[in-house]
Amino acid sequence: MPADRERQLILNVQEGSHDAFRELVELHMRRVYDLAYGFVNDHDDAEDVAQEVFVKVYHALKSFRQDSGFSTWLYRITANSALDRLKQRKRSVARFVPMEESHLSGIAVSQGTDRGEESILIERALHELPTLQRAVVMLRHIDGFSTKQVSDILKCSEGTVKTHLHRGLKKMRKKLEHLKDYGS
Amino acid sequence: MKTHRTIQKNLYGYLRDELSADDRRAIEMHLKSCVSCAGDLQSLREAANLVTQKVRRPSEHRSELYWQQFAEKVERRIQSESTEEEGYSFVGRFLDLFEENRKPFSFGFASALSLIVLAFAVWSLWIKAPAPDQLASDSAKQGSSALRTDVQKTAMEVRAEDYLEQSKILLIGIMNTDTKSLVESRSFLNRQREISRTLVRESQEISSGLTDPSQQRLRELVSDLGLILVQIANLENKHGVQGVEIIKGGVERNGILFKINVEEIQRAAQLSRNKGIEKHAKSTI
Repeated sequence: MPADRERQLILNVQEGSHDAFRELVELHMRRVYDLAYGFVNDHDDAEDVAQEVFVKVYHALKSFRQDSGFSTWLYRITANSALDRLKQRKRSVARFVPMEESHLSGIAVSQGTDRGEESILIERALHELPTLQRAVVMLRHIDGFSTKQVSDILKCSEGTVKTHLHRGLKKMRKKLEHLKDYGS
Repeated sequence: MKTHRTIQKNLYGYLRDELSADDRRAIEMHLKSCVSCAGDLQSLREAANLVTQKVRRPSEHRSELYWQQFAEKVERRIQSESTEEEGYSFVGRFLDLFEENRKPFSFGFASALSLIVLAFAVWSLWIKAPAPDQLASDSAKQGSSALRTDVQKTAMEVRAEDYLEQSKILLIGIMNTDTKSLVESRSFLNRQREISRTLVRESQEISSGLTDPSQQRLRELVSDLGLILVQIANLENKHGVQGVEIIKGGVERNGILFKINVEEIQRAAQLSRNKGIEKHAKSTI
């Protein structure tokens, strides 16, 4: 979506348009959810955090100034909310939830046959990483943010982001060594 | 000459092509002689490729229906939080105020009451009430006086509020009923159609009666709702499940229930503010 359109939507929301707010939510909901999930590692929590983020945005948009980037602002709110959730629930250690056991309501369980067991093992290795390593790996390699954007969202240096990426990816590869047997 | 530690720190940057030409050259030189760093780089490359190619986004684990309803869930959450806050502002603040300032509150109330009684006594002694025929003639002369316009506006708004309330009940009934059972239950559908026809007529009168610019939002909501009600009123059994789904989709897409609730909350807040102003005016007298 062009930046002009997003700017217009924000202005409309500030003037009280519900339709504009809905469009803004629909524009960013998946990325906010993905980002929240990167931290909380649980679909229910990710849903709750994502909704909470948009409620905060709805109230804060009235005083939002367009000179700062909306996306970075939104994703920073998401990261903070997700980290708060982790603190609240004392889940600072990564919690392992097997992805194939997506028994939660509304979660599609379809797995392509070409993905199969290999994908599940990779997802599992990712989800076993410590919180920050998992979050930066997901932000960088799944969400497609640049290292600079990740550092802006997490409010840390690019060097710190690279260190987490390096350690996280190395750990993952070690966990997945046996994947060579699967012909990866 | 870069140290082994510095090279290690820059390996990820090298992999993603995020380094300067000098740093890149330094790493390439180092990799020729360091098996450990070459192995690390290979591990990073493989892991990054695996994640990028094989891991699905978490949002892809949710169904398309889930994402269609997501914005609505957010709106409901905003709405329920506003209702809770409103509840607190009406009751909680009053109780807090009373609890904190019990004595000044009592004195203030007693003073205001005394002044009102005094003002009434003066008015009844000194002001002669006009005769009924005089009052009628004055009223006719004034025509659309400010007072009369206010009364009409209030009456139309009250009518609009009733209309919104009835429409909301109707829509909640439809939205919360399984589409298939809705189509199969003829009596239920007939009843909904009948109510919708009445409400459509009502919406046309209300829309033309809400002429004040401050009532624009209410007028638009009444009209939007009217369009949905026309669809319900014209719903035939032959339209089946698809017809009902279109109506349900329209209600959801346009956030009709959300808008009605917001309107109700705002009107309740306005009413509360007006009462506050009225009370303040009385206490000033």
